[in-house]
Amino acid sequence: MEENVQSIDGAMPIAEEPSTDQSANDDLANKKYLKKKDYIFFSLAQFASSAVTGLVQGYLLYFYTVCVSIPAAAVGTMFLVSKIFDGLNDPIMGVIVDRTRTKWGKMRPYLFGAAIPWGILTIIMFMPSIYSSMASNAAKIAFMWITYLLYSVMGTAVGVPLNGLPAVASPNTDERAKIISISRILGSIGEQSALVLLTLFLLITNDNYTNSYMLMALIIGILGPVFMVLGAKFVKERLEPTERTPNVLEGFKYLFRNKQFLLLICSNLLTFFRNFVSAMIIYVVSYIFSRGSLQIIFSLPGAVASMIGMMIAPKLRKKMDSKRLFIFATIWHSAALALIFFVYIIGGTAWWLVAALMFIAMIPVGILNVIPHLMATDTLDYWEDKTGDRCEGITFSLMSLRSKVSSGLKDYTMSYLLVFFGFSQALPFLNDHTPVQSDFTKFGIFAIYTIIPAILNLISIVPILFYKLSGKKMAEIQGRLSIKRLEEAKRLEGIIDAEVKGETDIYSVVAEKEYEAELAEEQATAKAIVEEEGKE
Amino acid sequence: MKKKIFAITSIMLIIVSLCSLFVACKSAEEKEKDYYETNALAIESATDTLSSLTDEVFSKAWTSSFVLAMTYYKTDSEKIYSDGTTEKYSNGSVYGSSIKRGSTTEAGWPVKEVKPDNADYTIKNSTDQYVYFMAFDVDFKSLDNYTVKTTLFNDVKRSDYINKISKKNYREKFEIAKEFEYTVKDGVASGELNQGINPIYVIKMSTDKETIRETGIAASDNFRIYTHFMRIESRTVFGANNALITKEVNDESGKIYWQNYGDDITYDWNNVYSMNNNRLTVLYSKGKNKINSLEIYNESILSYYTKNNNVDKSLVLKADVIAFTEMVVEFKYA
Repeated sequence: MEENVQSIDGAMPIAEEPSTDQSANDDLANKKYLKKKDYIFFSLAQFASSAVTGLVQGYLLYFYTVCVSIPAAAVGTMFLVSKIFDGLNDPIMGVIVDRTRTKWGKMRPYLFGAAIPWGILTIIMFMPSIYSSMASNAAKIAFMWITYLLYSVMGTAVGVPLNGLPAVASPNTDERAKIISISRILGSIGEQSALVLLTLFLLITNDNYTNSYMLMALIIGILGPVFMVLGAKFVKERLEPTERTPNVLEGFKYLFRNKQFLLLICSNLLTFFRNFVSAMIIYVVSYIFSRGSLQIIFSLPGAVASMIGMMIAPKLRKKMDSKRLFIFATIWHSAALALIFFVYIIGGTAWWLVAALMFIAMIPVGILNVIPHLMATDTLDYWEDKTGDRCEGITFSLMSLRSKVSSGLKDYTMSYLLVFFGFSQALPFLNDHTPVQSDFTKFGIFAIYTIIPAILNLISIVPILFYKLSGKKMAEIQGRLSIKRLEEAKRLEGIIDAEVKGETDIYSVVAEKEYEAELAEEQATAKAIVEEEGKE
Repeated sequence: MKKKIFAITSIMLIIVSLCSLFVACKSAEEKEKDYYETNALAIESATDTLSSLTDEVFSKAWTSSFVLAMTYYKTDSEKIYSDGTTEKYSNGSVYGSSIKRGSTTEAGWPVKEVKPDNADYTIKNSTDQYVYFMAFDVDFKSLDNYTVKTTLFNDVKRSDYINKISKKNYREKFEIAKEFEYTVKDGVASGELNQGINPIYVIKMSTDKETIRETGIAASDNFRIYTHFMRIESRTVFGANNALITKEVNDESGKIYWQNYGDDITYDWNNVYSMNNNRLTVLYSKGKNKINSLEIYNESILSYYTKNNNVDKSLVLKADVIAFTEMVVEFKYA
């Protein structure tokens, strides 16, 4: 039982291996499938994908509102609608991918097909000359809608198979965890690549944001698809899934039936306010400190702090359960943001002081990036314990939907808050116009950066207060599941030991054996019925 | 049930289509007329509110300390002779910008490097923003009784200004050029103001409803009125010889100064020589009918000839903000 309690602190609990001899089962479970090039090219693809999304999520709002002067309210509406549309695409794309059968596999064809259009659309969205050639704002808005929606569709067509690739690259769970972990770290670095390029181009172009955005979009839009296509070429799909794929409707039903997961999703939807902090950096450095080049000093340490948070999250989880850690990290983040706001108000207006304090505020963001995913796995165990079903696909596609809706809500509310505080947009008929913002607007910008997310973040704690999967409850669930899995493993061991030969993968053998057992049972039943009828 | 839903959906679609058709049928001229009429009504209502609020300000006693900052471009030049000797000088002040319109043969924005024909020197120019600024300490009792203390500072680069001005002890961070004191007692003025700049007069003029209506309606296309605070944005446009171009002038001349309106407006810089954008932001307590703070911002835009690019060095017309003025007044009522 102690073993089971321990297991909730780490990764997903794995069925205990039988303590007898090292059987063929052990050999298959420990067999290494992934080669160096799998790790290298998959990580490069993740790096590229994160670079594209980092560029668009971090800079497109500013590019639309400041560089090409599209009204902030129009941009906000478009972001909200397209993010919801984009989020709904995920489960649909998941179903499409799961139903695909080609000689290249089911994931890779989409990477080959969608990566290049995705890169081209990224470049087009950041081309100022296209917008300046348009006579009216309506034309700019229409162009923005079309290109961004197409970009979203292509992004989903790349993102879903790319995220699913590790699951089919190797049946070995340790290998999967390793490739995901390495690629996530490279992905985090990829997200910041736009910032590094921006800083470089701002220096070269003498703080010309419009041209700097165009240049970094060109580099990321060209190199990104190259890396993604290379990833698709070199990472092999080695596993054919045998499980039934639920349809989209079933997915939404599951959301409402699994109350603990619903609470988690609700809470996570409300965490979008904390994304204001990183999204507002560009406004803070440009309009409050009047130095665009400070952006890297505000963003990079924040990213490093967030990575520290990601690294310490598993250790902190050993000291407190996910629920408490979520609440603790949220309060830490809010308190630190509130402190920055008050320090600024009482006269601590030096940029270095704000940047230093922001480092402390960003550590819990890393924790909050990891914990909901671990909580999602807890809800999976809870559901399995309750119903016997395990729905990873639905769970993570809904987590992805949540993330996109959150992102849309963030952009939408941020745009409207900027309007609320009277943000003066650049005049569309002047090149590189940077209007001086009023003191009221500057106050508003700093409030959106600090005190507003500090207060609103706390709302995300409310659904979590009703979340029941605390340490003790999870220990009980994990205990029951471990016993169940141990029994299952022993049952399967008998089948596998007798049948496994050569290179056949363990999952196909198990599925085939289960199918044969079911078939034999059906045949026996049918035979019994026939005999019964014959007697009558 | 399905039939009912189908019928309701069809009716709604027909209504939406008819509404869209009605909107689309409105001519471009009608839409433009509506736009200006709506703006005129909005500005009338806003300036009425503003007028009542400013009347309140000048009927009460208050104190305030604030800064008036005027940002302009200064050109720093270095003349380098062929024998290696150099000579440095600068050009431009708050009252005489170093940025001119220029002509099709002469750049208005100083060219980075100039080598005159038959000269034994090269001139290297760099332009930077400088701030001419002064702090006011106002003790206001009524329009007939008030004191204005002015502290004029030496001009600084805008980057330095930004770094220091937000600090509480900013006065100690800059060099003071001169101090002035001006008093109005029982309607009789004594003392001195810097360059005659009286902040009370600046506030009165900036919030005067007739002035805003006249200059605003003259050429503005950009009124914005907010609900939770008041912001009035207006624009005045000038042609050759500093002639004010009103909407009527633009219409009569066949729209040679600007096309379209609102966010879609475009200007012809061959005919528009300069423009002023004014922005007044008023934060006030609705219930108490009291202005808490007032922000005045004005930017001057000039159209000028400049080098096309490093490859194509022919001159092209461009427009930029060449100067701007900021003043934020927070009232502390007695």
